[in-house]
Amino acid sequence: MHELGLTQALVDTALRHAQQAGARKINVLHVQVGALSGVVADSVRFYFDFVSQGTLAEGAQLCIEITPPRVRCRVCGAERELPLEGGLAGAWYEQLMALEPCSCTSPGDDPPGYELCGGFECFLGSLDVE
Amino acid sequence: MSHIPVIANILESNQAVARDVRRTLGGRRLVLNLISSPGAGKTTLVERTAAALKGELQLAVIEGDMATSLDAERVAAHGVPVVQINTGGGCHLEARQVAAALAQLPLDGVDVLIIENVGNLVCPTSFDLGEDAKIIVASLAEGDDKPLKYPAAFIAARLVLVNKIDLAPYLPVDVRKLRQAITAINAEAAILEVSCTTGQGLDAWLDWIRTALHAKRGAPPYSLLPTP
Repeated sequence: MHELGLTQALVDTALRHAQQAGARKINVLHVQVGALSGVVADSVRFYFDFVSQGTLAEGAQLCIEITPPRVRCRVCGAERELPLEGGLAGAWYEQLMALEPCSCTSPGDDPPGYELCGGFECFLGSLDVE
Repeated sequence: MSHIPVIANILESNQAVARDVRRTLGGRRLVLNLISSPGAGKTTLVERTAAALKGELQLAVIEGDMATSLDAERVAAHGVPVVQINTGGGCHLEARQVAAALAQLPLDGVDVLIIENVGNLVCPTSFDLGEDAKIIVASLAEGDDKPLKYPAAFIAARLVLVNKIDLAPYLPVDVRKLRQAITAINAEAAILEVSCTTGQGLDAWLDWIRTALHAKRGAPPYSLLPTP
């Protein structure tokens, strides 16, 4: 999708925080990307070297953690994660449909089902700097 | 070497501009961000809405497209102030483009601002434009599986308009399945079935606008809230 602009925004955000902390160089950017966010991690990596050229982030390691889709029970609100397959959420709906009923459901009741509540985030979590 | 916790949304610079847009538009104007695939009927919906609310509520429109001012011309024909944003290659609108467009719109007396995003179910969902609600227009001709394929769009929506409902008898699409797919992703989203061609269901859409505007205006201004 728009990974070039996104990577530019990521680098800008990292530079702002690194400069505020008085850093001379960024070594690692720890990024969390939700599996349903639509952000393609490989594309961000591809653009990162280009976008970070000539900045404090040049040569930094980009550490992207893919966070799984999360669902919430419609009755008790308990949350749980759906498994990631190969780092992707392509089968999220099938997995959601196949989930066993929440433990708040009594035997014989209609299971209340779940709703999606996470997996869309895109965060810069932290920086390693010197 | 040291570790700095940041925890910042990567799009925080966009969100900062979106906050400015909200401040500019204030608490008396309802701002809607229309998102859909190309051809789902966003512009026709805007035209229908402009015609129906004429004399009752003052509309203003921001049209986002990669190229041309065709949509702005269609909307302007209804006597509504409109600004066209051409994104060039851009697949979505960003808050800074909306902020620039606002400077060209006469905002005095405007009750409802409709921002028609670039036709795309992927990118526009990530960018806050300063709206009160994102509205997805899902036309029946796209099939009943789009919510499952583009969940990020549907989870962000306050309202899903299922457009082209008049085509239901002619299409191999299961409206019930489409509604189930929307609800699986977003149980809170309202769903309205409409046809911008025949006008079916549009009264409910106009009522939704009136209710949302009323709710926004009904909230007491911050200065009147009791201080703790």
